[in-house]
Amino acid sequence: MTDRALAQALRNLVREDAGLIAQLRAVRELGLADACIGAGAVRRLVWDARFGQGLAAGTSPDVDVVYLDDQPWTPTRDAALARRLSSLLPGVPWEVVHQAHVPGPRCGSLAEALSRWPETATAVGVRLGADDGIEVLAPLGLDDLFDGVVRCNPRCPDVEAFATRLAAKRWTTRWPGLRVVSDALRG
Amino acid sequence: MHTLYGYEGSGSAAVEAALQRTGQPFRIVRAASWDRESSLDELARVNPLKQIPTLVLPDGTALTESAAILMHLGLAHPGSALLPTEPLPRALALRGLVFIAANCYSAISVGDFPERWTTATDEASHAAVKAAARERLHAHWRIFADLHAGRPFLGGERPGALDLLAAVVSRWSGTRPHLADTRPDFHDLLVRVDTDPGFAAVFARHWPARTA
Repeated sequence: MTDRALAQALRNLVREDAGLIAQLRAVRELGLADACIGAGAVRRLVWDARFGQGLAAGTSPDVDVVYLDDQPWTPTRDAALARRLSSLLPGVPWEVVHQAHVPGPRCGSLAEALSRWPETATAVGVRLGADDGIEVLAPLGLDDLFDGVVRCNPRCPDVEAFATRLAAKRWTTRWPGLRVVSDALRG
Repeated sequence: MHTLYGYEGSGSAAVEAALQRTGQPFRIVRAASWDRESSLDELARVNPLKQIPTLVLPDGTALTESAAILMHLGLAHPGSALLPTEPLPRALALRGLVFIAANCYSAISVGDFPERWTTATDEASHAAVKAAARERLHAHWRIFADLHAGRPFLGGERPGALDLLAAVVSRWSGTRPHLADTRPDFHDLLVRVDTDPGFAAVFARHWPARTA
């Protein structure tokens, strides 16, 4: 499938997930210039659909909200946004992170920030436009996410961190259809 | 006793299903290079390259390469019907196994590690290699589907070694959706293999949900 077809497939999955739509609406309510829900919530949505859900007792994972704007980052601001989200939509383990706070050179856009996330399948975000259209941010493409390929982000390969995340996240246990593609871990 | 080193969702599924068909006793050791909690040290002792599947035969010989392992099991256990017993159908089945290994597996490997297949170091070039490998992979599967008619299985009345390898390797890199679009009869055959009563339990363990 083309990237465009995969983006549409992702939009369809998001559209069918009432919980995620409600979360996206809440994030839109914040009125941030450049924000999305990314990483685990999106990954889980696609992998559950493709590789089966409920294979491991899932704790309630964080919903990662990431944003970028010109205002200076402060820990209190992220916490205040999380509280605001909790008031809009209680019971969701919101995790809000300004991408200016992540290590490395300052990002020019949210998509650029996503492109530094640790795995290709993680570097995907979605948000709800003003017209309720679902926008997809996938600076590293959607192939790996939909193919169930777990690959260390080639733009910032940190093999040790990757191995640690694999062990901690236990993705291949929860979704046995996944394929880990890693040269370095063979050694 | 055979010992199979493998992991859920990997090529070891085909070998596991074939071993089950032979009726030979075997044990499975869960090992994968990316899972440091798995029995990686034990795998490294029998295969320093840590490839899966690795099958250790009762005499201690370590075999690798899915196609070669399936050929060995089919030839060593003719009653298993993993390979046809008649020379010509058997030759065609062996050709199919080699085709998958040589063309499909290798194209997946190119797509997995595009940086190995170009001297260019930029991201766009790697993406282009990856996309070309995927197109090539899908083209190889279309050729395979046209070459191998199912009657009703590739192995004849019962699914055999070729059906197993095709059903496993076609799960990766967008092949199944592509075949559903372009070779629906062949796609149906693969689904019949997935759900064949003799293999369904093994496949369900490796891929608990349908891979779209």
